[in-house]
Parts: sequence; C-alpha cells; structure tokens
Amino acid sequence: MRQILLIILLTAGFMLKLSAAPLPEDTIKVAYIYNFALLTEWPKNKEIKDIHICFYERSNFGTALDALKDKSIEDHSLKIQNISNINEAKECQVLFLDDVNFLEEEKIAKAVSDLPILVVTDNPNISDSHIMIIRENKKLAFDISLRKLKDTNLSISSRLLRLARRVTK
Amino acid sequence: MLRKIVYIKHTSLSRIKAVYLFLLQFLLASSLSASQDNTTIVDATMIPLEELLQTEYIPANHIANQISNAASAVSIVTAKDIGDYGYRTLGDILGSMRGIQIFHDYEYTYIGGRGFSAPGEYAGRIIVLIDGYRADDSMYGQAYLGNDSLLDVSLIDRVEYIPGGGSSGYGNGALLGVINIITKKGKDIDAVQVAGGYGSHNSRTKRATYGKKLENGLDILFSASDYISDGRDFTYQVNAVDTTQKDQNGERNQRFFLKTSYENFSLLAARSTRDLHIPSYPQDGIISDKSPMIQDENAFIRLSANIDLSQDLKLSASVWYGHYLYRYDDPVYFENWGITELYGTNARWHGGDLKFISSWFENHTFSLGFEYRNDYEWSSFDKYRNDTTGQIEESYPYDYEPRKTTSVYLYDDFSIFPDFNLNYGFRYEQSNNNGFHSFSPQAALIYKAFKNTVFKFSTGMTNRQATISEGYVDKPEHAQTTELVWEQGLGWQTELLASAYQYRISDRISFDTSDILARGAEVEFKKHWNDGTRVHASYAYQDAYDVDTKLPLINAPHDIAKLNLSTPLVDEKLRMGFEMQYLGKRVLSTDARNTYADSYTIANVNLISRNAIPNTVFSFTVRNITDKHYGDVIVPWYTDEMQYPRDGRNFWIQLEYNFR
Repeated sequence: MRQILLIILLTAGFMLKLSAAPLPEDTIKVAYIYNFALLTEWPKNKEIKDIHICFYERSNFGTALDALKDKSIEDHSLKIQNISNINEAKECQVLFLDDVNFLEEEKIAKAVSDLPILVVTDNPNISDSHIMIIRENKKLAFDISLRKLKDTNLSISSRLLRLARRVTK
Repeated sequence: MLRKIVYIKHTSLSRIKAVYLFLLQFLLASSLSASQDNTTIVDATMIPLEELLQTEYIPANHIANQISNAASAVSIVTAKDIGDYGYRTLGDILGSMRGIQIFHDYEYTYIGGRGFSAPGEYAGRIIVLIDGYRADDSMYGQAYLGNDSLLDVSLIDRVEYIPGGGSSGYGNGALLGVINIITKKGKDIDAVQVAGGYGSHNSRTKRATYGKKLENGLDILFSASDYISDGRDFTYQVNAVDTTQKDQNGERNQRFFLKTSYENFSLLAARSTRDLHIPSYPQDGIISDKSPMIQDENAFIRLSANIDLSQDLKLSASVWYGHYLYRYDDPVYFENWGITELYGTNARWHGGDLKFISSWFENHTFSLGFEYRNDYEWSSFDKYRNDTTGQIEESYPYDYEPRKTTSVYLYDDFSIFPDFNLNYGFRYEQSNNNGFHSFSPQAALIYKAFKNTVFKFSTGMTNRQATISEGYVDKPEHAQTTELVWEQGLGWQTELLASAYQYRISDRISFDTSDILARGAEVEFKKHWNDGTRVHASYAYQDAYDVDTKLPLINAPHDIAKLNLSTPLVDEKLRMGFEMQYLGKRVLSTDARNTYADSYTIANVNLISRNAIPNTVFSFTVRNITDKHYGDVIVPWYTDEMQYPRDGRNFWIQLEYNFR
C-alpha cells in the first residue's frame, strides 16, 4: 500500500513538474503561431491549397521551426517559407515578423494590411500586426487587434479571442 | 636605422598576428561547436494553447538587431549586456564596441575611433541622442561618458553606435558618428527598485527607481541615484622625486530621470550633476594639499508627440529645453597670494522640431524635417576671491552673442527592386549671426545579394559648425566619408560583419589645419548558442595621418581588438561575463610624433546572479584583473607628463532588489 502511495506521489510529482517545466521561448512562440493558424479561418472565396507560414529572412527561430515540419491543418499542409520582400509576403497566409530588420518588416506589414494574411509579431515596434506576442510575468501572452483584422476578411475563433490578454476593437 | 625599422615592423606584424590568432581560435571553436548546437527540439504544438499560456519561458538568446535606419556598420549593446558585463558608465558600454577606444584625462572620459582620437578631437564631432534628444552640450559640444553623463546605465535599454557621417539624419556635429541611446520604459522595470553598490577607492552608490505602466495606459519611470567616491591616489615626479597625492580625487554625482508616456505623447527629463576634485595640479606641477574642483551640470526636458495624420502620413514633433553649467573652483594656483579663482560657463538652449514621414508614393518613404534651435545664453565669468575675507576682488563676466540655427532635411528610402534599396537625402543648415550655412548630402545603397548576405555602400559629406568655445568661425569643418559594409549570416544566431572605410576631414577648426585622412577595415564575429552563451569578437585596423605632413595622428592606434564572452554557470541564475580589450601603441602628443604609449591588453570579469533569491540581482565585477599598468595619451602642459595613469585592478559589488 505504502509503495503504491509512493508511486502515485512520485507520478503526481513528476506530472506536476512536467506541466510546470519551462520551455524555450522560441518553442512556445512557434507553437503559438501554429495555434493561431489553427484557430483562424481564411475567406472561403479564395481557394487555398497549402497554408504558407512565412518568416522574414533568417528569422530568429532556427531549429524551433522544425516542430512545424510535416504538419497540416484540416486538409491543408503547412509550408514554411522565408520571405524577404513585399511580393513574396503577399503569397503567405500567416506572416511572422520579428526584429531582424524591423524597418523593412514594418513596411511589409503595412503593404499587406488589407490582404487576408494573418500578421503576427513579437516586436512591439511593428504597429500593423494583428496578433502581438508579449513577454509578461515570465510567460508569453498575446494581444489581438480586431480593428486591424477588419479589412482582411479573416475570422478568428472565439476560443483564441478568449485566451488573448487584450482584444482591441 | 634600417635595423630599427625592420625591428619595428617585425614587432607590429607579430602583434597583428597574435590578434588574428586570438580571433581565429574563437572562430574555430565556435564553428566546431556549432554542430553541437541542436538542443532537443520540443514539439509544443501538441500542448493545448491554454496550457502553453501558463508555461514559463526560457528567454531566447538572440543577437540584437539594429533599430536605427543607418547604412553603416552599427554596434549594439543591450540592457542584458550591461548587466552581464557589469558596465557602470556609458564609457564602459562604448568601450566594448568594435573599433572604439575610450580614454581619460584627469577630468573627463573621451571616445575615439576610426583614426580620430587626439585628446579633445572628438568633442563636438560626435553626438549623443537620448530617445532622440540631442544631449551633448552646446558650449563645448562634448558628449559626457563618465560619471558626468546624464543617465544611470540601469535606465538604458540599448545603445547603438552609428559610425560615419550622420549629419543629414541627425544634425550638425555628427561628423564622425552618433551614439543613439534608447532608455527603458516604466513597464520594463515594473517594480520599485532599490539598488546599492560598493567598490574600490571607497566608491559607493545608491539608486531608487519606480517604473510602471498603469491600467489607464500611462507609463511612468522615475529614478534618482547618487555616486560618491574618494578617488585614487596619484604619484608624480616633482624635481625627480616621487610625490604622492592622497585623497584629492573625490567625486560625487547625483542624477534624476523622469520619463512618462501616454498614448501619442511623451515627456522626458533628466538632470545630472558631478563634482570632481582634480588630484593636485598635475599638469602645472604645482603640489598642494588642496585640490581644484570642477562641477558639471547637464539637464534637459523634452515633450514629444507622434501622430498618425493619415494612413500614409506620420508626424513627430518635439519641443525641448536644455542647459549645461560648468564651474571651476581653484584654491591652488594662487595659493601663495591667498586668492581662489572661480571660473564658470553657462549655456542654455531651447528649440523644437517637426518631422513628416510619408509613404504616399509606392516604394518610397520620404522624411521631411525642420528644426529650430536657439542657443539663447552663452556666458562665462572669472572671479578672484580673497580667501581671508571671502570677498570677490575682481570679476570678469562675459556674454557671447546668442545664436539661432535653423535646418531643413529631406530623406528618401527608395526601394528600387525588392532586394535593392537606395537611401538618399540632404540637410541644409544656417545660423543667424556668424554667416554659417552648410549643405550635407548623403547616399547609401543596400543590396541583399543572397538571403544571408547584405552589402551596404554609403557616402556623404557632413559638416560641423564651430562651438562657441572655439570662437566665431563661419566656415564649417567638414568630413567626407565612404564606407562599404558586408554582413553575412552564417547559420542560426551567427553573424560576420566586415567593413572598410575612408574619412577625410577638411577645414579643421583646430590648431592643426592640415586635412586628416583615415582609412581602415574592421571585422566582427558574433555567435549566440541555445544554452545562453554569447561570443562577440572584433578586430579593427586603422591608419590615420595629417595629409600635409604625413605624420601619424596623436593617440590613434593601428590595432584595436575586443573579445566578449558571456555564459551561464548555473542555469540562468549565475552568469559570467568576461571581456578582453587590446589597444595598439599610440603616438604621444609631441611635435615629432615619434614616441609611443605602450599597447595594452586588459581583461574584466563579472559575475551576476539574477533571481537566485527572488526579485534580487547581485553582481560582482573585477576590472583590469591582471592589474595591468597602462596609460592614456594626454596633452602635456607645464610638466612632461604624457599619459594619464589608468586604474589598476578594481572591484565593484552591487545589489538590486525589486518590490513587486
């Protein structure tokens, strides 16, 4: 009996530890981006084959991006793309911008602002994003701007809106 | 003679070799371990989003990218670096950057780089921006980098050093470069912070900082700090006898800082005062048990707004006031006459600027700006006080004619092809009373040759108006600068940068009127690992001389090498920062310019513990760990002292607690 209790305690402790274990920032951000894509609906009138998740140039993520390899959402497979200009950005469904070259990235964000492209960033200097990932209390939160999403015809699931730290209308 | 030349060449070559080997080792070591870089990849996409939101993150270890829109080879130091290497002054921060040399005399800290490093050379030739406010004083045009600077380093979020002529973008005086400081916001602190430090020479500091972003969106940061030090003992040769001056180098400073922002508006204010006793009277060879004292006060306040006028048009505007007060209290020089000299200068200014940024035209981003600056007070006084009666016996006040300067600038960032950008623009500037006017054009091409390869070519002409301390000179000093930069990404968080440049300064406002020519090349390597280790290594070669005489420039070394290594020892709870700085031999301040100050290598180490005890940051710094004796080149006055002796091994401990 005592042994069983011990095993339960140990397992519980291990489980607790698992759930509380911190993860690398990039790993969490990549998983966020995956979830954002999962919980977004693109306009039906435009046929999408693959979901292109785009990163500006050599994005900061490195190997953390491998988590998105061979994944699909419903029957769309995910394609990771590195883009370096506005024309390439226009082919994306999800566009992540960071601070690799933020002046360029800000221009791109502006140029695609009325297209059905979900623009995600972790750089507070980029003002034209739809979802911004923020460091808060050792955790990563995100804000959603419905106001900026209006022109894009994208629809965001209520689950995502509920989980956002702040939603601006 | 021939023997000597061969000898000199041999030693300088082997020294360069040593520096290369030193860097090469790190390149090799890092490229070898690059393959071991793949930490286990966790697929967090399987974890529900609700759970991820509750998961703590391990901060990523990314190489910082530049914010400023400059086509030159920008160097960046972030708040993390400041903590990890234990930097305590702006001079410490800049001293870690590629190709920069920081040097001192008995009063101030100076910056040199790209061949221009003569004592005093950089005053007025480099500008400091604090969140966009130009913070060098208007009397001497000096950037304050030591304990006299406006900011406590704990308030700095990042410092970018932009070498090269920046006049078009930043204004008159950015002849050789711009130090762009971005301060923290209240939400970055998000606490009430108290900190204290203690170190060598009985130096101690106290600081209290409050920073918060309130629910209504108002962001506030307020900080007050002081620093007191007994200073060092200095030994001089007086009539061939060593004489030590004790307790005559005391220093004290106080700083206040306020930054608030609400929606589109922000207010920034800072004030710093420093009293410094100059040990004995080194340059005049007068030894006294008293010591002269200098006092510097810098202060400013600036209100700014950033407004979106339409989808394609942004406006930023600001108004500002600033002052610089200098006092010099000298009981030594006239000691035998029972008289104390009090000398001082006051400079006060205000002004405003407007800048429109438009993206009306496809592929173009135009910036059009206007700036008005009124240096409405420049005055000085020289008083002689009877030490017995305390009465002022003689007084010589003097007011200089004030000056108004207006400028206009236009910039365009033109994206010719997706991977090919042209930045071009100009600045025109004129003053109302000294006939000064200047035109500063600038152009840069930025070409992304491959995904990880960027080439930048920039050229421009920048101008500098004489400061009032240099007198009424109508002709601007100007610099023609050309620079080629190659940035190469080498895989994840690994970067190589190389640059080559040429500067020519003409119409110098100086005792020497010969043109200066400086050429050089720099290389820098950065790598960050997943485990949190960072390495930055750089080497700069420079060659600068007077065009007329072909003589080398005073205090300009050929070689500058730096190595910075920061690595976690116990998770992120204890981290070690190690840096090494090499400076080649420099020509001393003599007419023949054939004697040199020795080259030196110094090393500093810093241990920092963040949150090992919750909300507490503890650090311990040892600078100059090998206790190297070395000196900085100074201008000798009456004695033959050619170098300012730098501090030996010294330590500092600091404790910070955050009330959250």
